[in-house]
Amino acid sequence: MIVIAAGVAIVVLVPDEELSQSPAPLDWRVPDPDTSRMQARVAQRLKEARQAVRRQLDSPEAWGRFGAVCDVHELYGHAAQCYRHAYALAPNDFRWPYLLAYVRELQGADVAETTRLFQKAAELEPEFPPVFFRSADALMREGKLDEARDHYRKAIQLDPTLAVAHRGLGQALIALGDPQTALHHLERAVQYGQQDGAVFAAMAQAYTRLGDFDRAEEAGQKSRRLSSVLALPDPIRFEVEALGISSKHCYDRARTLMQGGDYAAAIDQWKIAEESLPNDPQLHHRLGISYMRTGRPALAIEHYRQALELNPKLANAHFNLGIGLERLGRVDEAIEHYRRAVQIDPNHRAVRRLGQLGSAPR
Amino acid sequence: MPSRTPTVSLGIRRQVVSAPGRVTRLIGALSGLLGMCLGGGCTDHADNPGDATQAPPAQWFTEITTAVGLDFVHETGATGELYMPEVIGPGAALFDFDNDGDLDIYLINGNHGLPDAVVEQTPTNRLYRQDPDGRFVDVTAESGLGDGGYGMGVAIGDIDNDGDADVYVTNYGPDRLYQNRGDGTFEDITQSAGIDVPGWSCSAAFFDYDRDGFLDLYVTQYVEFDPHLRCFDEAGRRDYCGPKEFPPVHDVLLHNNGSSGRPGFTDVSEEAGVASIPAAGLGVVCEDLNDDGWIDVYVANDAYPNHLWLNQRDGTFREVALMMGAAYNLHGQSEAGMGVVAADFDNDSRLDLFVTHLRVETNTHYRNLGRGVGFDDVTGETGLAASSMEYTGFGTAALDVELDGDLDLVVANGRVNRVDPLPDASIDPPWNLLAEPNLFYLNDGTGRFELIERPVASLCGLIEITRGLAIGDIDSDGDLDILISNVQGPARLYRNTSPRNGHWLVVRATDLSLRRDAIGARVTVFCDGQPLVRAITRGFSYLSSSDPRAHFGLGDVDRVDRIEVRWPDGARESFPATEVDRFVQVTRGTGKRQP
Repeated sequence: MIVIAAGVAIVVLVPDEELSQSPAPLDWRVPDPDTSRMQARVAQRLKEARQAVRRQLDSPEAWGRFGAVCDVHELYGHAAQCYRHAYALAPNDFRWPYLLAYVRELQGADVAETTRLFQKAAELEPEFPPVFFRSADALMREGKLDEARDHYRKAIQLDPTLAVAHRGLGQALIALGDPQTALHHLERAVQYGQQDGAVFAAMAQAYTRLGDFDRAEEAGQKSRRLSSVLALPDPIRFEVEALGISSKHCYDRARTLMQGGDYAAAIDQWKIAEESLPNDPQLHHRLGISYMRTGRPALAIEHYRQALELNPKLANAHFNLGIGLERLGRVDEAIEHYRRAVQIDPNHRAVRRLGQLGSAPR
Repeated sequence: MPSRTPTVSLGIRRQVVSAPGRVTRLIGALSGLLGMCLGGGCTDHADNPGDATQAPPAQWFTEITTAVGLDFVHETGATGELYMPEVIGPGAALFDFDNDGDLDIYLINGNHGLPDAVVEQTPTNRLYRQDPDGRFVDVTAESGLGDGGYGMGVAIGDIDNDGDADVYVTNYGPDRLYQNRGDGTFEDITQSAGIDVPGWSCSAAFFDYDRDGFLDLYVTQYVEFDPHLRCFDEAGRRDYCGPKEFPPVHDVLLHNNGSSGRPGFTDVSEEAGVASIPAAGLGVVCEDLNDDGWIDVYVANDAYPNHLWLNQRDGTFREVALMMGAAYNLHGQSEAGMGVVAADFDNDSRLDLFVTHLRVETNTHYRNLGRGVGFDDVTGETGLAASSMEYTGFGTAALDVELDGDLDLVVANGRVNRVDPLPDASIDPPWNLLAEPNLFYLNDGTGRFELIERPVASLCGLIEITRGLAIGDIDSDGDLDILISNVQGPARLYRNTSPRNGHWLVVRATDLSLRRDAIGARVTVFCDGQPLVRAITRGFSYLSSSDPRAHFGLGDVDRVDRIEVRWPDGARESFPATEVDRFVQVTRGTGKRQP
C-alpha cells in the first residue's frame, strides 16, 4: 500500500483484517494536539515525539512512542491514531494492537473491536498474561461473563500466581451465580498478594450470597479499610506510564516512590510537581517527609512550615514538624507543634510523644 | 393533583426565537434538523429548514422553552479560577407550588460570590408559575423563593402536612428551608426550623424513615472544598479539582419533629449512623431496596464506594452496599457516582438502581436480585456500558416515553474536566470544553437498552453542560415531559411528542390524614395478572425534584384490573379496576386492606 503523508511517499503494510474492519480509512496526517494550555514540559515532550514521527514516517517505533506520549497524557484520540499507524507499519508487533485496544476501550469502543485487537495481540504474543486479563475485563464490562471467565482462566494458566486474575475470575463467578468457586479464587488472590478493597468486597458479596452474613460483614470491614488497586505486572503499560511528565504524573509517581521507600527519587519528582503546584500543602508536607527520611531535617522543616502556612489544620504536618525540630534539638518548639496537632485531632499520636517528653497537651 | 383535560397543544405553536444569549448550532450528524419541526410547528432551533427532500423523522421531544416563557439562564459567576462548585450544580424542580393542578418550575442558580459564596446575593434561584394557557411566568420576587446562595439543588416535600409543597435548597454554603404559606408565597424558616447545614450540600430527598407521618430529609454532602487548591490534568492543563483532592465529609439526616406542632428538624446524622462513613455524596434515592417495607437510602458517592443505608426500623441505618453488591462496579472499583434513579427496569416488581458516572467509566445498572440478597452489576448485559464511556453523566430518569409498558432511560451529560472540546459544542469557549450531548435509551421490554439518537435529536443533539433533570407531565396529556438545567446556560423544557405505542395511567397516591402525596409508597397496577410497579417519589436524578405521581405506560392493555398500593408504613391496600388513559387518585383508607 502506498500512502502519501506530509508530502512523503512511503510504502507500508497494513493488516488487511484491521483495515477491512476499520470504520474509517487511516488518516496518515501526523496528529497535532493542542498544547496551548499544557505545562511546558508536556508540550515539549509531545513536540519531540511528534517531530520524531515527522522525521521517520515509516517508523512504527516513532508512531508508537508518540502514541504512548499522547496516551499517558490522556489524549486518547491522538493516541489511538498513532497506535493504528504503528500497527499498520508493524503488524507483527503485539504491542500496537494491545495498546490500541487499551485506549479504544477508554474511548468507549465496542467490545467486539477491543476483543478483536486483544485477540490479535494474544496471537502475536501468546505468553503475555495481561492481554488475557485485560480482554477478560473488557468482556466483563460488556456483560459477556462466560467469555470473560475463560479469558481470566487463560491468564491464570499462563501465570498461576497472577493475583489480580484470580480476583477477576472470582468477580466473574459471583456474577455467574457461583459464589462458592468464586471464594476459592478470591482466597487465591489474597494468597498471592492482592489484598485490596476490591477483593474483600467481592468476598463480602460471595458470603452474602451464600448466607454467611458474619463472614460477609468481616470481609466488608476489611474492604472498607483498604483501597482498590490493580496490581497487574504489565511492562508494556509501565513503559507508557513512565513517559508521563506532567505535574500530576510527578505527584503520583512521587507518592508511589515514597510508598516504596525511595525517598531520594521521590524528592526529584516532588520538586518537578512543585513548579506547578507551589501552593499545595500536601505536596510540601510530603516533600518535607522525604527530606526528613533522607537525613535533611532543616529542609524538611522548611517544607513542613510551608505546608502549615497553606493549611494550618494539617495535624500530621504539625507532628512531623515537631519531630524535625526535636532532631535539631529545639524541643520547646517541637512540643508546641505536638500540642497543636493534638488540638486539631485529640487522638493524634502526638499525645504519646508529649507523654514521652513529660509534657501535657493543652 | 386533579386531572384536567389538556387545553393547550404546545407542540403546534410556532417558535422561531433562540434562547437569549445562546449560540444555537446544529451538529453535523444532525444536519437537516431532524424534525425539529413537528406537526407544522417548530422548536427554538427551527432557523435551519433542513433538507426539504428528506422527510424528517418525528421528534420524540419538542423543545418548548422559549414558547412557554421560560427564560432562565444559569450563571456560575466563574472568574477563571476554576472553583469546583461552578461545575457541580445546578438542579431543577417540577412541582405544583400553588395547588392549581399543573406543574410549576423552580430553577437553581449560582452567584458571583465564590469562593466565599456570600459576597453578592444576585443572581438568584427562580420560580416560574404555569398559567392555564401553559405559559410560565416568573413569580420569583413575590414568592420569596429567590434564594441567593450559591445554589446546587432542590428537594420538594410537604414538611408540615398542610397540603402544600415546601422547598429545601441545597447550597455551597448554608442550605435554606422555605415553608409554603399556601397563598403562593414562601417563608424562609431555616433558622426557626433548626436547619443548620453548612458546607457543601448536593442532592437531597424527603422521606419518612421512622413512619411517624412527617417527612424527614436526607442531604448529601460533597467534600470540604478548599478554594485555594489548584489542580491540573494529566497533560498539565489547569483543570477543576476532583473530589479526592479534598477531605470527604458525611451526609446529613434531618429528623422532622412535626409532631410537635411547629415545623422543626433535628440533625440525627450521628445517632442514626449515617455520619459514620465519610465520602463525597452527590446523588440520593430513598426507597425500600430490600423489600422489607421500610425505606432505605442509597447514595451515589463520587470516587468513593456508594452507600446503601438499610433502615434498621429503630431510627438507625446500617451500611450494606458492599455486601449487597451496590458499592462498586463489577470489577470492584469505586466509580464517580453522580445521579441515581431507582426503578423497575425489567418488570420483575423490584426496584433496580442506575447510577451515572464520569467519562472513562460506564454508567452502572445494578439489578435487584430480590429477597434482600443484593444487586448484580448488569450494565454490559443490558447494553448500557460502551455508550456511556465517553461521557460524564449527571441527571437521569426512568420514564416510559412511548407508553409501551417498560421504562426507558434518559441521561444528562456534561464533563467536569476540561478536555478537548467536542466538535460543534453548542456553547462558547471556555465552557465548550465541558459540553457533551445527552443520551436516551429505549428499553426493549426485557430490561435491555438500545441507545437511540435521531428521534431524540432535539433532546440529545445539543452539546451543553447538563446537570439537573426532572420529569413530570407538564401539559397533563398523559406522558412525561423533561426539564433539564445546564451549567452557564439555559434551562430547557421538552414536551414529550413521541409516537404513542399504548395506553397510559397516572396514579396519584395520597393519604388524607396527612393531606399530602404518600411519598415512599409503591404503586402496582395489575393488567391481565401482570404487575407493573412504580414508586411515589420526587427525589431521584441529580440535584432535582420531579412530579411524584406514578406514571404507567400500558402498551395495548386497555383496562387495569386493580391497583395495589403499599403505603410508606408498609400497609397494603387494593383499589378496584379502572379504565385507562386517565389520571386517577387513590386515597388511603378508601380501598380494600390487604394482608
